[in-house]
Amino acid sequence: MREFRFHKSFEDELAKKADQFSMQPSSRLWDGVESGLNKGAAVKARIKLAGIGSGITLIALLAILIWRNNDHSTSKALGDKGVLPPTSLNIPAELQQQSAPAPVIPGIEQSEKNTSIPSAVKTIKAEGSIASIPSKEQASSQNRMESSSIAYNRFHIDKPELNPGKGNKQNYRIKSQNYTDGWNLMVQAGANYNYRNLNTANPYADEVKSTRDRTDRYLAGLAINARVRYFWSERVSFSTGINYRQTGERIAIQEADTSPYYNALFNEYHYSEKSVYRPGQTTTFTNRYHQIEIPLMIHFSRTIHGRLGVSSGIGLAAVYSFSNHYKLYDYRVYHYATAPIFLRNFNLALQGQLMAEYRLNSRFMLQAGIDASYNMLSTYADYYPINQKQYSVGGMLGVQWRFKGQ
Amino acid sequence: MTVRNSRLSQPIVRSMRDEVSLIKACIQQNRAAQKKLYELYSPKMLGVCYRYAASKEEAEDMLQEGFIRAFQKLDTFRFQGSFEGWLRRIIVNTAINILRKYQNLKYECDIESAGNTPAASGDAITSMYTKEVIELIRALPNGYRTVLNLYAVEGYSHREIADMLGINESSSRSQYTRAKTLLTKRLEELEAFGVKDHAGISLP
Repeated sequence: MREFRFHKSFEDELAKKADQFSMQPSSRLWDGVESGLNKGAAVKARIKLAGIGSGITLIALLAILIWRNNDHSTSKALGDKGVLPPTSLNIPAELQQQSAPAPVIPGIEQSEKNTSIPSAVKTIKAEGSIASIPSKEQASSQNRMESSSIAYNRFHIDKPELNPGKGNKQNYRIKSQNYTDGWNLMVQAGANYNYRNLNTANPYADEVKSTRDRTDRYLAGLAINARVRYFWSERVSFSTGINYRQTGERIAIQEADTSPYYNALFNEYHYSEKSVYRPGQTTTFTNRYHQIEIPLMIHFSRTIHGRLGVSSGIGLAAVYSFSNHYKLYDYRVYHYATAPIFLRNFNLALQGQLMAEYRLNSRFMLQAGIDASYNMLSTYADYYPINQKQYSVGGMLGVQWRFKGQ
Repeated sequence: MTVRNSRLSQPIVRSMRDEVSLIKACIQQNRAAQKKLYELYSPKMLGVCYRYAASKEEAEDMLQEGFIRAFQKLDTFRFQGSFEGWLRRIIVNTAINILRKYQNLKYECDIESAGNTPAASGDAITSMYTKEVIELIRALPNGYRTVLNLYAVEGYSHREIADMLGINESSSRSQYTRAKTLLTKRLEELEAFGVKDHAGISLP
């Protein structure tokens, strides 16, 4: 028998022994698998919903922008070039011979020097009516009407702003009271309070959760936003851009925390060679996550009094944690470590803002208010037994500037 | 993967038709079917994880994560070949990923010294209890253990191991030689103490 076995290879015998080996898993392991499957399905559903929601919002936003641009460009085309080329007009000879300077009508371009067609005629062209050509009296009457319209606007509206050169009285863009038409640049910065919600994905981590719930502390951070904001109407606007946000929490392991699993978990996941718990000592981890966010928000604005208004916004943000640092305080020595790989890099956040807005002038606006963000996915990867969702609430100051040429 | 150890893929489920219908029910997210599949394969797969892990708790974490991944990817199983082999590959890959992420796999090995390895035969292993052999494998340093498991037990080539672990092919070879040397030495020591697998006697 011994001789027969002599020629068996090392690998074959090892594989055979390994294949014979089996172990009975603990009874609660299936619970972990099941909760992981449920969680995965829920996360997929949430991501799908968020994706659909973002897609619909984006498509709606793009559709609105395209629609509005087309509307403006049509007006511009009418104003600048007319409905029909001048040669196609049947202009009476007496009108063609007129050489008197054209009356100055706001909104009419005066640059076409080589044409002998009076400006009044161009006004008619711009309005799309070529059925009849007005006389000088009719043209001046039109001028008077438009002047009175401007006077009316000046009287009733805080500060009307005329856009000459568009060739159509509909293009007298009288700004709304909020001075928030079109595209704006918004820069905000503030300090925030950061903490987390903990849930356990399997029963093993319950002990860790209870200990952390007792000893964890909040962490202060900061947030900076740079966004463009498009006003669809006086009250509704959309914003997108880039945010930087620091989140995190402080984990303290104290003398009373003698849970072996607690230690094992931290030792395993924080690359610590030694036990993080030592009798008589408190070990503190400062977990700070640095996030870059791309938000898409919808804002609702309302004027409260005079120049003061309020704006509330809600939206979703794609979040990328680009650098995470763990600061470990142990035996009065600070250690910095980069993040373990089990941290999730991409996340999705639900964000909201409530800002008071004060108009300085027709372009600048000051903002102050509250900014909040809640990460919808765990800070940790799915296989980590603790589900930790970061949230951040803070004060924010900002300035908004309306782009020129609108 | 080079399937050198074809005997590793012996079906656990007796009827192939039963297994196929069970897998199809699992693909449709039938929890009862998933639990049944888990109960069928988890003891054997935990044995696989145990060879890679430092503790039973870690092995159970690997198993849990591996089964979650397997159920999530089950729709990619083409019903060609053994399901156990497919599941085993996912479990092993999960174990390797977890080891790579959480542990500092140490591959320090002196290639020159690793070259002086006595030729090892399977005789010492054959005469050992299964549990003893597994514990001997687990007593090896992380890096050695991983390479030994992947090459000798799972049947991966050194090239594949190098790709999986992010090391050189030569490093994988030297790791394996070193692991084999260490294991053979310990087997011989145990054999000298008379620990042998006697016919008709099984461990509890």
